[in-house]
Amino acid sequence: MLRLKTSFTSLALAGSLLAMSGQSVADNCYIMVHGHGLQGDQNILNGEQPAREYWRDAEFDDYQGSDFIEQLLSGNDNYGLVGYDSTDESEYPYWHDNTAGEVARQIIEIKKGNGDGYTHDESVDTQCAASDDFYVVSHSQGAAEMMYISGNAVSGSPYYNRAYAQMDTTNSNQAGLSSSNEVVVDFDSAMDSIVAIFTIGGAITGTEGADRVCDGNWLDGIINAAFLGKTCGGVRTMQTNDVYTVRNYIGTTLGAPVYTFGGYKTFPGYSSASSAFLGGEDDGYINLASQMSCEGSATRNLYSDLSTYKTFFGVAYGSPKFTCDDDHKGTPRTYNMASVHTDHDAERNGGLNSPSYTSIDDGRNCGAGENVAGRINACN
Amino acid sequence: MMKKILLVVSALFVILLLGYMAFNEKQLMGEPQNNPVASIKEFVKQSSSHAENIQNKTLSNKDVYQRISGLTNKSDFQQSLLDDQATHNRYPEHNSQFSNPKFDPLSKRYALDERVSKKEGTHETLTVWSDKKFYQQGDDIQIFAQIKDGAEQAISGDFSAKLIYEESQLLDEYILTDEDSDKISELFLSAQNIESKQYKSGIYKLLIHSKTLNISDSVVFSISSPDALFTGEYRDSLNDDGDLLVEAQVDVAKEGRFYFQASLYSSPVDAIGSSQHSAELGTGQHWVPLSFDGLMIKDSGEKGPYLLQQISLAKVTMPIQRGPLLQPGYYTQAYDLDQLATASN
Repeated sequence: MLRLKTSFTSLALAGSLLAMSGQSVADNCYIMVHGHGLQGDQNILNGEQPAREYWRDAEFDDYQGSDFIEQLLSGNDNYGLVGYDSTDESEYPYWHDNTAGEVARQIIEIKKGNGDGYTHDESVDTQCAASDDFYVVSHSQGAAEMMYISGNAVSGSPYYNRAYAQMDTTNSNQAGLSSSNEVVVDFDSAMDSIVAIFTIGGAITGTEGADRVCDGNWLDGIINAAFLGKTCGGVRTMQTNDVYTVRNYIGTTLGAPVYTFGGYKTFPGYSSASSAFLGGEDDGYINLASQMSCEGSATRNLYSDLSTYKTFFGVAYGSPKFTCDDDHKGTPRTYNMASVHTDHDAERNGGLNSPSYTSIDDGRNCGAGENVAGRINACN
Repeated sequence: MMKKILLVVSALFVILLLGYMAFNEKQLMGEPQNNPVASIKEFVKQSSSHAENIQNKTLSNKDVYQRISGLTNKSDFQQSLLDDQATHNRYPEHNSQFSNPKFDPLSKRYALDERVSKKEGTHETLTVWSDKKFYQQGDDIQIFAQIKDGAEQAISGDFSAKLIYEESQLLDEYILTDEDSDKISELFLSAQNIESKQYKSGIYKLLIHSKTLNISDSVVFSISSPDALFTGEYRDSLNDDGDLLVEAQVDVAKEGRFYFQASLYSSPVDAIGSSQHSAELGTGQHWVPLSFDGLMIKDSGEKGPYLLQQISLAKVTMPIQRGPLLQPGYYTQAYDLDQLATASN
C-alpha cells in the first residue's frame, strides 16, 4: 500500500498554524534496528534488501503480507534502516564492532540526513532529515545492541565509545583479556538527539533458546531454525546467565531512555513448542522478564513471581499479572510501554492487527488496543 | 474589490509558504540514495567522508521537548519523556540518584543470579545458584542446586555437573552432594583446587543435570584478575562547584582501562546516589575521583558526614573482570548542606 504523504489542504493548514506560532515542526524519524540471524551488512542480497525485508518477512503463514514499517508511519514520518551482520555463521556478539559498532555508525549517518543507503518503496521520500526527531525501534537482538550502545554512550561508563573486535573466532569467540582489540566507536554521538529507544521482544537479558543451544538440549528445531542458530558460538552472549547479559556491560545510566514492549503469545500452530522450553510468559521465544528488562534472572520463577494465575484443579488459566514496574528494571533509565498478546514473529512484521494486552504497572496506555507499530505511532 | 484583493493575497501567501516549505524540506533531507552499493559498510564509509564536510553534528533535539511540553493533551509516553528528561538532566550523567538502598546499582550489579527452570508440562522446578557471580583468582567457589515438586516443596535429588571453560573446554565432572540433608545439594571448589588446576581468568559454566527431574540448567560465573586493588585509603573534599569529591586510592599492577562505581549514603540505611568513573591507568598508585553532585546530595536533605557505602572496580576487557564489592565504611567530613551546590554543573 502506498502512503500519501501530505495533502495540499493539510499543508496549507499546517503552514498557517506555523506562521501563527512561529515554531518549526520536525518530522519523526524511526531508525529501525533488526534482530538476530540477518545478513544485514549487505544492502542487497538475492535481489532483496535484508534490513528492509526483516520488517515484513514472516515465518508463519498467518502473518504473510503484513509490514511493520507501513503500519508505523503516518503523516510526514520517515525511517532509516540499519543493517548489520547478526548471522550465526559470523558469531558476532552484541558488543562487537561489526554489530554494536556498525549499528552506531549507521545511526550517526542517518541522523546527518544523508539517507540510509537503501531504496525506500514508498511513493514519497521517507528518508530521514537531519532536522527530524529521532526514535530507535529495535527488535530482539537489536534491543541488546541498543542497550550496549546507549549504556556506553555516557562518559564514565565502562565501555564508553568502545566496541571490540574478536581475537579468535574459532576457539574462544572472545575479544580477549586485553585492550588491543578495542575499536573506538562514537556511541555518544550516535545517542545524541535520540529522543527514545523502543525495544520490541528484546533479548535484553537473553533468551532461554540460546541457553538450550549452548547447554546442548535443544528440542524445538523449527523455532531454532527460524530465529536462532544451531551452534552456541552464534548465540553465546544471548544466554540468560547474568554474566553474559548486556546489563553487566553498561554503566549506571543510558544515553537515551529505553521503552520496552513485551509479547506473550505463543507461535501460531506451535502452542506447545514455546511453553515447552520457556519457564513462564513469553513471546514464543523470549521470556517477558527479559523483554521488559526486569531485574533478577530472566529465568526466575515467572510462574509465581512475574505472573499470577488462577488455577482450576491445578491447571493455570487467566491473564498473567505483571509486576515488573519502572522501579524494578535490571537496566537504568528503562520504562514499560506495554505487554501485548503477540509473538516474536508478529512483533517485527505487525502480523497481528489488534492484539489483546494486559494492564501492566507503569505501562504507557497510549495506542491501547493496537499492535506495537500502531502504539508507537499513536503515542507520538 | 477588497474581497478579491484579500483572496489574491491569501492565495499568494499559501503558494509562497508551500514553496518555502518544499525548498526547506529538500535542503534538509538531501537527495535520497537511489544507487545502493552492495555493502552497507561501504555506504557508511562513503557517506561519512562526504558528510564530514557538510555537517559534523546533528541538530539539537531540545525543540522536541519544548514542543511536547506545549501540547495540551500529552500521551502517557510523551509525559514520560518529559519526566525522564527532567530527571536525567537534573544531575551530571555520571551520577544516579536513589533513596532506597534496594535500588543501589552496585547491589543490583552484584546480586546473585538465582535461576529457576520448570520441567515441561509440570510445576516441578530446578533452582541453581552460586554464592557469587564474579570471583577473583584465589576465591573459593560454592554452587547450589535444589529441586521442588509440583506443590513447591523441596525434595531430595541427585545432581551431576560438568565444568566448562568459555563454552568450549570441558574441565571436569562432578557430583553435587547434600551432606547436611537440607535438600540443597552443593559443590565446593576450593581456591587451592582451582589454583592447582590453573584455571584461567574468563567465563565458566557449571552445567547441572537433575537426574531426578531429568532437566538441566547452568550456573555461569567469571573468575577475574582485575590487576588493581583498592589500598583502603580514601580522602574527600568539596570542589569549587560545590560537589563532593571522594577519592579512592588504587594500586594498579598492570596498566589498562578500569571502571569504578561507588554509592554514597548518609547512614547505612539512608541512600543518596551513586557515581561512576572510567579511565586508563598505568602501573602504580592512583587516586580515583568519584564525584557526587552537590545538588543530588542537597536533594536528599541529609547533611554530612557522608558514608561511602559500597565501592567496586573492574578491568575493562571482554569479558569484564570485576573485583569484589567492598563496603569500606569510610565517612567524609561533616559538610553542611549550605556548602553544597544548588544547581547541577
